[in-house]
Parts: sequence; structure tokens; C-alpha cells
Amino acid sequence: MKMKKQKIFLIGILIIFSSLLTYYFSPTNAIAQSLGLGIYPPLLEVTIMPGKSITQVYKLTNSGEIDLMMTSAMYAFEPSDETGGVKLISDTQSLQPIFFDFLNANLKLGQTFPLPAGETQEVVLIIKVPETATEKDYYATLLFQTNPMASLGGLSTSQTQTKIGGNLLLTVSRTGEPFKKAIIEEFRLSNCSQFCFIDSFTPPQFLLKIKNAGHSYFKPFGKITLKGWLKQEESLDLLPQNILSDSTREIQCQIDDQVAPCQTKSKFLIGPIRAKVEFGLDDLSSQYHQEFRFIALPIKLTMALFALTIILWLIKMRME
Amino acid sequence: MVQGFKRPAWAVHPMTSDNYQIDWPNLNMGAGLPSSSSYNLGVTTGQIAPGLYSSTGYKVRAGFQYIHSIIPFSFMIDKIAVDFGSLTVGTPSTDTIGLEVNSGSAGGYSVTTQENNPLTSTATSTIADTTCDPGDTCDESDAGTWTQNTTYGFGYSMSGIDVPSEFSGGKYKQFADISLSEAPQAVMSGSNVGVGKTSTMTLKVNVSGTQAAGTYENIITFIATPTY
Repeated sequence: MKMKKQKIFLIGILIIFSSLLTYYFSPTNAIAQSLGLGIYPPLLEVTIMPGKSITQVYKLTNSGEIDLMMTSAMYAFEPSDETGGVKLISDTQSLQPIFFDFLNANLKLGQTFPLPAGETQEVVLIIKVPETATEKDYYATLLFQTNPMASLGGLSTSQTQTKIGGNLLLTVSRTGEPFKKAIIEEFRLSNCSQFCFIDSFTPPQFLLKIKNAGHSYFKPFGKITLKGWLKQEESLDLLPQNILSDSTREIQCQIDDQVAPCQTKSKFLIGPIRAKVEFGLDDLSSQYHQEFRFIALPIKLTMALFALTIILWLIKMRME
Repeated sequence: MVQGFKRPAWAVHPMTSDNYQIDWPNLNMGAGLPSSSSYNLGVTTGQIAPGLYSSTGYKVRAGFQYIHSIIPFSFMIDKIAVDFGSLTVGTPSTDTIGLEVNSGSAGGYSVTTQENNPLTSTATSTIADTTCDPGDTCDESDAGTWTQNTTYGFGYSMSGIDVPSEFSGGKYKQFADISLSEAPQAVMSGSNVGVGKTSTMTLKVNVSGTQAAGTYENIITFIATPTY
């Protein structure tokens, strides 16, 4: 009798144990784990002479729940839009003859390496510029990618793979002062192109697009100023965003230490307003400037008063 | 924040490693993460005063000078694979992937996606990428309506923060196919600094009666890049 009870107890334990094993190691449970990567720095700007080299430490963090196998690669990139997006180019011909590699003792660029969950891998990127390198800009992205896991077998699935990158803007120059030139492509109210009237109670928002017509990327340092009829004056600081050579970028502003659209805080504007943008390339100056005028009128208030007058008149007429 | 994510504890480390040694007297190197109790600025090395470029031969600036954040640029997804279960003829099978971007130390970001090939079985049968309903078709670059159970194939939709407006109304697209050299397509993008930007990708499969039986698989790749 006692033996039978022991047998039942053992069978029960085995069933519970095998159920737990099945649960924890089932493919369905395994796939519901998060996968996360972090990289720093997201941007590296280098101006360097031919024949020189520099190094930079990158930190790659596995913030997910599973251990990963990672691979690294260097891609060329070009702007994908006017907001700073990048389009990766697998053909690295445009990066020739710049040499990229890792200085880590046990890891080279392109090699696979393990990155356990919660761990950070530091890599030391070396950039060597040969004496023969052409003086121009080289735009690259250091990309780290996860290796897909083995087939789950028996399940119709889409496996996921993630890649994360940091961008490099490399200017090769003997003098450190390559030719830089900007063209103000568009400067206007964001919702109106010419002969603009705005409502006095609606803060105006500006659209500023700057084209880089030089040989090297630059940052615009400057501001947009508004001067009104009643000595109203307000200014917006331009965000010093990189504009790559042969590209145009829509510039944002820096308001209260935050990145924001170029919109004033004015609660009320009236009459003719002059808007002026002025900036320098990589320094605060008025090297480039452009202005336009628009008129602020209390349009909504006038319409509301007009509507109210009509209503009152109709009421009065009916009462009479 | 998408359910299921565990927010990482980003540590601020000193610049040390078993793999290399920094030779401070001959410094031409920038550290990965500048330390501060509350904020950081980008690091500039190589030129500590105007005119020194000719002697150092380089200027280096790491990070965005106008962004005060110690949060690395990071990207998370809440599962490593999507399980469609047993596919039934004329009954769409769907599952979701949660995406999260923290662009704290980056000016902005973009997440693009593509597939290595259409869902393919071990016997090399494929479930073609959907072309959506006949009245509002889709491909890898244009979204369309997919509500009819007589429309077959494989596709995805997006909802949440910073997703392209073309997905509004629950529209679907094909994945860009690497095997056909199709360019990756944006599924999230933002031009402002931000943390905890989340979205949901809904993947959908519907098979016809002529679809060969089998287990179908492919690989979906997400590429997260900061702006410059």
C-alpha cells in the first residue's frame, strides 16, 4: 500500500516537472522574449588630415532578455529625405580609400561576437585616412546586427532580426577649413507661400530649408527674428543641425532647450510683420540672411464680432 | 511603453575594458559615453583652441552638441519571432510585434523594415506577398485595404507613434523583399528627440485552398538609425 502511494507521488512529481519543462522550453514561450539594442555615440563628426588616424570608443548594449550573436559592418549612407534620415548603401565604394576597423584584441570589424543579455560591449573604432585620400566628405554608418536564431521547426513563423547604427561624418581636409556654401532654398510661413495674412491670435510657424552647395557639411548657427508694427519683437534660435554636401535640410528651432518646430510664442500680433532669418556656417554670424513680410489681422475675432452683430440684429428684428 | 518590454538600466561606465588600454598622454580617442549625474554634451577632442588643427591633424566631435541626454539611441522589439500557428484556408492569421525607440541622445530617428524573401516552406513553396483587396491594391511602397478573406498573401500594418500616415484606417503593405532588391521601407520615423516612442506592427497571413501544405518561414529585419 505504502509502495503504491510512493509510486503515485513520484508519477505526480514527474508530470509536474515535465509540464514545467515543456512550458519554459516551448518555442511559443521562447519567441515571446524582447530583443533590444542601444548604441552610443549615435553621431561622430571628424575632420581629419590625409595621413592621420583617430579612434573612438562605441558602446553597444543588449537591453533585451536573450543572449545575442552580433555582427558589425560599415555602410556608406546618403540623405534619404530633408529631415536628416539616412539611406544605407551596401556598396562601400564611396568610402574608399578610408580604412575602418576595430582595435579590440579579440574582435575585428565584420566578425561575429556574443553579446549576453544586459551586457555592454565596447568597441574601439579606428579610422585611418591614407595620404592619397581625396579631400571631401565621407558619410558612413557603423551598423551592428543580430544574427537570426535557428529555425523553430514545426511552426509557420516570421523571425526577426534587428540592426542598429551610429552615423559618421568624416571630412578629409588638409587645412581643416573646406569650402562651405549655403543657399536658403525656402524661408516662409509654413502654411502660406506669398501675400500672407495670418490671424493675430495664431503664433506664426516658419519653414526654413537650407541647401548645402559646398564641399563639406556644416551647421547653421543663427536665428529667425520677427519685428512688428507695435514694436513687437521676438526671435527663435535655429537648431544647429548638420546639412550634408549636395543636400537640403529643413531646419528646426531650439525653444526652451527643446528641439521644436520654428513657431513663435506670440500671443497677439497685428499689422505688417517683418520676418528675417540670418545665420553663419558653423559660427554665429549674419553671413546668410533673407527676409519677407506678412500681415497679422484679428480675422477670427472680426468674424466672431460680425456673426454676433448679425445674430443680435436678427434678434432685435424679431422682437420688433 | 509597449507591454512586455523591460526598460534597461543604462549605466554610466568609466572608460575601461579588458580588451584595450587607453594611452592618455597621446589621446586621440573619444569615449563612448561621457559621464555626468544628470546630462551630457557631445565630446570634442583634437582641437582645444582655434588654429591647432595644423598640429593635431584632426577634430572629433561625438554626439549631438545640442542634446542634453545620457540615453543611448536604442531600439527594442517585444518578440524574436511571430508565430502564425496552423494556417487555415480563407481564415486570416495575425500576430503583432511591439516596437520601441528611445532617441534620447539622437536628434531624430528612422526604423525601416524588409524581409529576406516571402514566407517559404522547406519544400520551397511560397506564400506570396499580398497585393491587398482588388479595389485598393498595395505593394511594398504603397499601402492598401485588406479586409476581404478572399484576398490571400502576407503583409503588415502599423499603428502607434511616428508611423507613416499611409497606414491610417488599418491599411496593409507588402514587406520590401531583399531577394528582389527592394529598398527597405520606413515603419517609424521622427525628427524630434524622444523616449518611449512605441508602435505596433500587425502581420497577417491568409492562404487559399491551392496553397501547398507545409511550415512556412522567413526573416523580418528592422533597421534603426539615428538622424545625422
